[in-house]
Amino acid sequence: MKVLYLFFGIRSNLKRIHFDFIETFMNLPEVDVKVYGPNEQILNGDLISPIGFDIKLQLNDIIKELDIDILLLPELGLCKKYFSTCGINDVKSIPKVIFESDFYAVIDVDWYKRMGINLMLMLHPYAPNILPIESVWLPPSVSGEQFLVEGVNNDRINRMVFVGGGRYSTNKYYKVRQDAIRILENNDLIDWYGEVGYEEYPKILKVYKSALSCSFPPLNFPPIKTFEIMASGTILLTTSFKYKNALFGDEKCFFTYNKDCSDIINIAKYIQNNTEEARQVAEVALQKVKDNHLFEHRVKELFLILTSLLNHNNIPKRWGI
Amino acid sequence: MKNLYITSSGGSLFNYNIKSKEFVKEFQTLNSNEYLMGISFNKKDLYFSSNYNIYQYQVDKNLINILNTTKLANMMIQHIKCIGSYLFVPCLNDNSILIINTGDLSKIAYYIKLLASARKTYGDCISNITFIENKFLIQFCSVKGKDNSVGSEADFPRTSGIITMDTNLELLTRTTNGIEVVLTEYVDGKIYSICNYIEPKNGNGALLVGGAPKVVWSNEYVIYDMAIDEDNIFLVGRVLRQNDHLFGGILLHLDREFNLIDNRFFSGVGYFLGCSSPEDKTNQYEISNDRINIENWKEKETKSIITVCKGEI
Repeated sequence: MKVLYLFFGIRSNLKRIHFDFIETFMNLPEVDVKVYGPNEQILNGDLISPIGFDIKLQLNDIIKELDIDILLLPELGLCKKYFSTCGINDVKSIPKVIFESDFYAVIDVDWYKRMGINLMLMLHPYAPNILPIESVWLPPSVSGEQFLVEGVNNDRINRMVFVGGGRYSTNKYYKVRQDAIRILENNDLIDWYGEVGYEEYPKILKVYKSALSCSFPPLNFPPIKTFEIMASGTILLTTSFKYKNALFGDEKCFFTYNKDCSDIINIAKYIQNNTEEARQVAEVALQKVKDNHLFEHRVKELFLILTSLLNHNNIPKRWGI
Repeated sequence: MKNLYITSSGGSLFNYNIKSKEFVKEFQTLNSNEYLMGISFNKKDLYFSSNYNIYQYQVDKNLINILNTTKLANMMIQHIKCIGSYLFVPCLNDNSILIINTGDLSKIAYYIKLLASARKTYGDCISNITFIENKFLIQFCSVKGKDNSVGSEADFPRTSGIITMDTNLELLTRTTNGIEVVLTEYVDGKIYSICNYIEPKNGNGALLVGGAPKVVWSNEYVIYDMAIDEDNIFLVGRVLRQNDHLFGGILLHLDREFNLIDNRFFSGVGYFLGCSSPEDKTNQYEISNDRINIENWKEKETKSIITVCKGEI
């Protein structure tokens, strides 16, 4: 299977969600992935794109030149920003698949149909009936190389940490996260780092015993941070989220707080004071990620999805939707 | 100086008594997505800002008035400053400076937009504005440098830059001025700068006077603001030392010869982002309005100055 993936050269935290995942996909023996986009030609000294980005080049010509079977697109906003002149709409000969995450922010929902996109790979579990075209949920996953630890040890700072953005955002889905940070900080129960950069993020998670996350109520989606914290052997405190049993089974592998944060102080203190119980929860979480939520697992699911699409078979829905 | 007012990442305004060391929370923002940073005195009134609100604190009346700027502009306010009777409000989101007459907080008197030096996001983080003799000086972080790199807060360290403008806001000069220089002030005829990356080998920061380091701090500290009076220098910021878990706000107290008098750590308050006092010389600009007469600017309410820096790092 020859895949053309459009990307745009960003090398910050976004890289983890997008490009690191694709790098793992490249390692599958069954696929040959080419990358095309601004600043996307060399990766770790290797030539990953045989064609330098040129705004005048048309995808149809690139697809023909490279004999591509399937076109993988980044989310709508990035397509519009970086590839609007490349003729996505004109590509008719092969399937077009798009990675999408924050669909709630998409205004131009007809764009997917206008561009003739065949399938949306959803990072979050949106109900399929609200999406404009066929979709499949491909939940977040993590790089084992960057996040996984051998086991959960007690040689960590016995406090809660938050690493990441959104604290000062006006996005309404960040409100519970913001409230949680404010309450915990005012009670001296959290170390808030904010955004720390690509390299530092996994390191900091592994220094602390517990970490805060949030599932964007009322969306109630597990963000990638859910999986990253669990992979780091760090105890996860989050608001509840949809499909938690599908993802992790019914064994306790994280702690939850109410979306009105009414219980967050007590739970944070409980985690801090009951270290052995909390450690065992984190051990379960670590194993869950090792079993099902690494990039290696998800790229195999992606391969099966793309193969089914190419063969005109039903799209396999490993996670239910 | 008797009291130092300090703003925090957690949206609090604190009052620190320098003699008694008493530390009191005077105000807390209602919204969890507000940080407090900018803080500036104008005579008896204290102005401080969150990322999108400006607060006027009439200290003697114990009364706080709020100007919600989200109705006026898309902004993320940085270090505000009273110059003359105007409040200068640098904003991160669109690299703009709002100028508000302190006599009428209900509207923006003037708006200047500074075009980014690069098209990448997060470029040109405008930090603060100050007034030197007959020109304005505007400090930026994350400008387009020689290596074309532009980064976000997460992409530490960032190149810094300064532009100067005359009293009619015409561009005079633009230059890069080091790495992670986050604040520049003009006190007693000298330029004081906070640089959080003076030594690349270890990431240490320093207070620079006239470009020369006077106090160096380790890379566990990040300093965001300073207040200077006749006898004291106060630096505020954050400390992050994982070995013995020191994590929170930091207040460094120096004398004017740069000797360390006190080093106080505060946990459970977030980071300190701003500080000021009535005697703070970084805020004393009793300038007559004819030197920066905003009426002269009326015909150019929006202007663009490309902040590409051509100087050497």
